[in-house]
Amino acid sequence: MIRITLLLVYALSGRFIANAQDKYFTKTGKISFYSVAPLEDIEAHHRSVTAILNNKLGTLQFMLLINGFEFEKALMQEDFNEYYLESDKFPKAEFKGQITNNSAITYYKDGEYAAMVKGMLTIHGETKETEATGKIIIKEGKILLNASLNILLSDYKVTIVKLVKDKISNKVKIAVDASLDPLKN
Amino acid sequence: MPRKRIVVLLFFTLLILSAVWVLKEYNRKVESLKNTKPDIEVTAEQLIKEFEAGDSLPSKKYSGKLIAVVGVINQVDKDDHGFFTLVLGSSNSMSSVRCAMDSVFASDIHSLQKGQATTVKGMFTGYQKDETGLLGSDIILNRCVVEMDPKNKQE
Repeated sequence: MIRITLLLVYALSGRFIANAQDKYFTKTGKISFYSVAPLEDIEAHHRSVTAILNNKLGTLQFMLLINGFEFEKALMQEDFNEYYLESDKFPKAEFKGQITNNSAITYYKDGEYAAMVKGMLTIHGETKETEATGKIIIKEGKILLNASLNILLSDYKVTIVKLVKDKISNKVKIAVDASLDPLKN
Repeated sequence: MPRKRIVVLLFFTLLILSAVWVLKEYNRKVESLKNTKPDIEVTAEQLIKEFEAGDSLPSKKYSGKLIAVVGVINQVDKDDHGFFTLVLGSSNSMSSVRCAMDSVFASDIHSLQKGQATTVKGMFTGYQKDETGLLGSDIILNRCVVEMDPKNKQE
């Protein structure tokens, strides 16, 4: 009877530990975007990005409030929110995807792994399938995510005013940098 | 002075003034909120309660506003790049007010600790509702600064 109880306790505790380590998250992830064009280079940074990773299933989710992007120039920030991304109308951006080579990543062992992610990116109320490459670094119980991808503003119905259409790039590079901690239930 | 010359002079003066204004506006930096008076003062608990009520009215009420939030510090987050986030809230709720701090005033944060009451002011960024049921919802403020108690202000 004692042996059965011990086995049960062991099995349950093992399951709880496994569950506790399945999910990792952050609310202070960074996402930056860069656009290089003849008229002006545009750069903005967001440092309140929520990310959640289920390493068992390989699912990955990012969420951010558009209004949280910070620019160096105030006018650029105002135009970005008011005319381009219309943050009052479309306050959030989101990515829901899957690490396609999840089985190649050893989450319990410190190391650096190449990662490929595929999923749906929603910006400005438009959702498109997107792929990104990056790396996952496992270090002292934390998971660091670094990735970059290029998107076209026209894919997300972000309209650049005619006057500057040839001078502002339609292509934007997005860089992701997030340090995820285990999610304790 | 002939009338024509006055008109030309006036035209060029206006042109130069406009160019200066455009250039100044184009290069205008995002200002620090340190010495700006808040539009609204509210407690963290009240703010969380308003957003948890679940309609879009609070977002409209606080949109574009500089808010001073009075609350107890649940957490002081420092990320790998040295940026601070102060988390204010109550122990009764998973939701919180997350204040991404202005890095220029990082020295004001070093003395703050979990459990301490403080006032933080920042621009209302939005409400991030937790759709996973795991993380708690957040009211996010940006470019935040700690509102110093006038008694503790250094001259």
